[in-house]
Amino acid sequence: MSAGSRGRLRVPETVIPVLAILASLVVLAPLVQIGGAGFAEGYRELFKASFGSMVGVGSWLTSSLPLVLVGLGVALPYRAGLFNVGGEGQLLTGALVGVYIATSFGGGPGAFLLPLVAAFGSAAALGGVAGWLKARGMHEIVTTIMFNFIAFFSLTFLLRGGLKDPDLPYAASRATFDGFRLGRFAGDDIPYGIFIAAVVVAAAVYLADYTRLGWRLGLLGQSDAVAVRQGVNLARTRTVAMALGGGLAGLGGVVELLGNQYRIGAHFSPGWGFTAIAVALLARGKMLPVVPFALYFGFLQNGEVRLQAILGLPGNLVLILVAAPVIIVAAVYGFRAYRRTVMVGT
Amino acid sequence: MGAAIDHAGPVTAREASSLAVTGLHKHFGRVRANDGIDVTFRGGEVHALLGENGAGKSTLIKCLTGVYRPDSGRVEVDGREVTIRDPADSRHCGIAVVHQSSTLISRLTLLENVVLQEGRLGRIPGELADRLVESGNRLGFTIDPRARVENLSVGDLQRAEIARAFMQEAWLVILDEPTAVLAPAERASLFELFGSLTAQGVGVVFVTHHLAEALSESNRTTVLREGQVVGRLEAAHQVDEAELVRLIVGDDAPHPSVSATADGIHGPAPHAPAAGDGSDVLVEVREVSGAPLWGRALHDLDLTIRRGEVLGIAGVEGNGQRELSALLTGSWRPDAGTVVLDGRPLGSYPPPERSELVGDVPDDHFLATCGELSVWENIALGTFAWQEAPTPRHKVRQRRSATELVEEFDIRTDGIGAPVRQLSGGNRRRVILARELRKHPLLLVATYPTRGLDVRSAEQVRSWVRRLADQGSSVVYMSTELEEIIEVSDRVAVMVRGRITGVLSEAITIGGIGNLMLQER
Repeated sequence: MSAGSRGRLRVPETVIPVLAILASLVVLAPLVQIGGAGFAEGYRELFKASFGSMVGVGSWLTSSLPLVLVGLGVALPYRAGLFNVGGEGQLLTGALVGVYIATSFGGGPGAFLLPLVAAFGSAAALGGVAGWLKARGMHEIVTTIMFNFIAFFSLTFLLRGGLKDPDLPYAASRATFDGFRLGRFAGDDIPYGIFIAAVVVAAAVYLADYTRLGWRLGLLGQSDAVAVRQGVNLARTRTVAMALGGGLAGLGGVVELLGNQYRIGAHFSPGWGFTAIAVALLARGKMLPVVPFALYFGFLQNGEVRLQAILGLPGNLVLILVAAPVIIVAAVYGFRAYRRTVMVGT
Repeated sequence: MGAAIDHAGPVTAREASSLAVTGLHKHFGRVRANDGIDVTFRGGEVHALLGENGAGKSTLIKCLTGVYRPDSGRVEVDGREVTIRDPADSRHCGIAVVHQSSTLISRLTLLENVVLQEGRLGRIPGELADRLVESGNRLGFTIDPRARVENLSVGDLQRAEIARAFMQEAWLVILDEPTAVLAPAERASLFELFGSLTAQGVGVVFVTHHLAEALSESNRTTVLREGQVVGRLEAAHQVDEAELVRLIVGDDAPHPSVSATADGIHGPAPHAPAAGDGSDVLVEVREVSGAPLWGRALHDLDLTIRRGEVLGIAGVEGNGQRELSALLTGSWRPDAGTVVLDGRPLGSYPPPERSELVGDVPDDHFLATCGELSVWENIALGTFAWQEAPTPRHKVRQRRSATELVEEFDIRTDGIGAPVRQLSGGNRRRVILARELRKHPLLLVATYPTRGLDVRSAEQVRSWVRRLADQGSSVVYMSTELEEIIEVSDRVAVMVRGRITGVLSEAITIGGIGNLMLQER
C-alpha cells in the first residue's frame, strides 16, 4: 500500500496510436534483414517511394485516397457502436455502379458528379441494409462480411459477361470515358481527387461533431440503453449510420476508379476495405484523425511496390506494418481499461 | 486466516475479531475521497457508516474489498497487517461484501454468477444452487437461482446479492446501502438477520442514509465527511438526530425535516392547487397491458395524472415501476392501451418535442448517464441530441450552464470535465436530476429519485419536485419509502404486480397504502 500511481507520466490517449506506428516501423528493420536486404536500404526505399519525387507524392496520395474515404466509412458507424467490416464490398459496389455509368454515357463538364452520387447511393443502400438487419437481430459484422462476398463474386461474374471489355485479353471492364475522369494537376502528378476527399472529410467532420444526428450516433456508441431512454430510435439511427458508412466507402471505390484505374478488374482493390478498419480503429472512431492514418497506410502501400521491385522483398511484409500498430493500440487500451475498472480506480 | 475455506455449511464466525484501518488515503485526481481514515470494525457488532454523498463511504468499502487499491494506509486483521490487492484477498481475510450497484453479470443466471465467483472447477452447480436458496431463506428472501439477472428488478437484484454474500464464510459482512431498495418487512428481517449474525460473532458493517436506522440497529456508528472521520458514536450514548445531522452536514445548514419521524403520518401536503383546480388532466393512461422485452407485465393499467400534482406511486420495487416509467416517458410502447399526454397520444410526439416535455429520472443511473462522457456532456445529453446542435458556441453555453448546475445541485465532482464514472452513485443521480429539472418539463417521471441520497439531498430533491409541481407541471413520484411518498404527494397510487390496486386522494396514511399493497386482484 505504497504511494501507488501518483505522479507517474501519463501518455495522452490520442498519442498512443502515433507511438504505436513508430514502434511498428521499428519492427520493419529485422523483417527487412530477414528478407535479405539491409534495413537502412529498406527504410530509404520506403521513403523514396513517396517522397523521392513529385511522381512519388502523386502516387502516395493516389494510394491514400480510397483509404481516407473507406476509413471514414468504417469510422462513422464505429462511432455509433457498429463495426462495418463491409467496406470492401461497399467500395466494389460503388466502383461497379461508377463504371457502369462512366462507360455508358458520354461525359461533360461536371459529369463526374453523376457516378459519384450514384456510387454513394448504391453503396449506402448496401450498408443501410446491414444496419436495418441489425435491428432485426442480425449482427452487422456477419452481414457485412457476407455482403463482401456477394459484391466480390458479383463483380467476377459480371467480368465474365457483359462488363468485360471484349478487346482486352484479361477480365476487366471497359475504360471510363475521358469526360468522367478526375485528372491530375501540378505537372500531371497530384490527383484532383484530393479535393473531393477534402470536401467529404469536411462534411463527415461536420456531421459527426457539429450536428444533432452526429451526437445521437455518438450516444448510441456510448450506451444503447441511454440512447433509447433519450428517445433515439435504435433501428432507424443504426440504419442511417451504416448507410452513411457504406456510402462513404462507395465513394472510395468510385474516386479510385475515375481518378486512377479507369477500369475495374478482379484485383481492383488491394484490400482497402480491410486496411480501412485499421485506419478507423487507430482514429478511434473520430473523423479527422482518419486522414493522417490513411496517409500513413497509403505511404506503406505505395512503398510496398518499391520494396518488391528494387529490393526483391515480399510485398506482404508491409501488411505486418498495418496490423502491428492496431494490435499494440488494442493492447494498451485494453490494459488501461482493465487497470481502471478493476484495480486502481481512475 | 489464509487456510483453505470450507464452502459448505452455514455462515460461521472465523477466527478473526477485528479489522483496524489506520491512515487510509485514496485520491481521485484532486478529489480526496478518503483522506486519512481511522476506523475499527469488530466481530459481533453492527457498525453503521453515515455520511453525505461523496463523503467517502463507498470508497472506504471498495478499498477494504479490493476493488480499489488505497494510495496509502494500513489495514490490520487481529493486529496483523494485511494487503488487500483484489477481491480474492479480501475474501481470504474473511470479508464479504454487498456493493451498492450490482456486480452480477446481467446475461447470466444467478446460479451462473455464483459458479463464476466461486471459481472452482468440479464444484457441482446444484449444490451451489441449494446453498444460494438456503442462504436466501435464512434472510427471508425467495431466490430463484435460475433467474436471469437482466430480468430482475434492482430490489430483487440486491436481495440476490445479499444472499450471495451470506453464502461465503466470513467474519465480517459489509453492506453498502442494503436497505435503500428493500420493503419495510424485508428490512425488518434483514435487521433480524444482523442480530443472529452478531450472535454468532460475525461483524456487520452497513452504510445507510436513515439516521433512525443507524441509531437503532447498530452498536456503533461512524460518521464520515469529506473523506475523514468526523464522529464516532456508541449506541449506549443517547444521540439526538439533530446532532447527528449536524455532524454529517458539517455546517450550520438548517436541519432538514427528517422524513423518517416516528409517526410519519401526515395528510396530503398543504399547498395551493395549481391552475385549473387540479381537475385538469395532463396524462391519461387507459387500459395499458403488455410487457417490454426486458421487464415484467403491466395489466389493465388506468391512471390519470392531473396538472400541477405530484402523483406518488407506492409499492415494493419490481412491481412494475420501471415499466411504468418507460411507458410514461415513451421509451416503451405497450402492446395494448393508450397514453395521452396533453390531449395527444404520447407516441405522436416527435422525439425532440417529447424530450422537451417529459423529464425522465430512471431507477438506474446506467439508463440515464454515460460513464465515459463528462459531467457537462451528460447534462447536455438530450439537448445536443434533439434541441441544439453541438456547435462550439452551444458547447460553451452548455458548459457554463453545467457549471451553474454543479453549484446549484451541489454535485461533488473534479470539475465539469470529469467523466461521470468517477462520481459516486448519489452524485450521478444529482447529475440526472439537474439535467431533467433544468428542462422544466411538463411531466416529470421520477423513479426512486432520492435513492442513495443523504437526508439533506433527499429533502432538497423533494422540495425541487414540489416546486416544479407548484409551477404547474405534473410529477409521477415512485418510491418504496411510504413516509417519503406521503410527504411529497398529492395523491398516491399503489402498484402491485403490474396493476394499480387503488388511488388515495385524501387522508393518505401508511395504513391505507399498506391495505392497498396487500390487495391483489
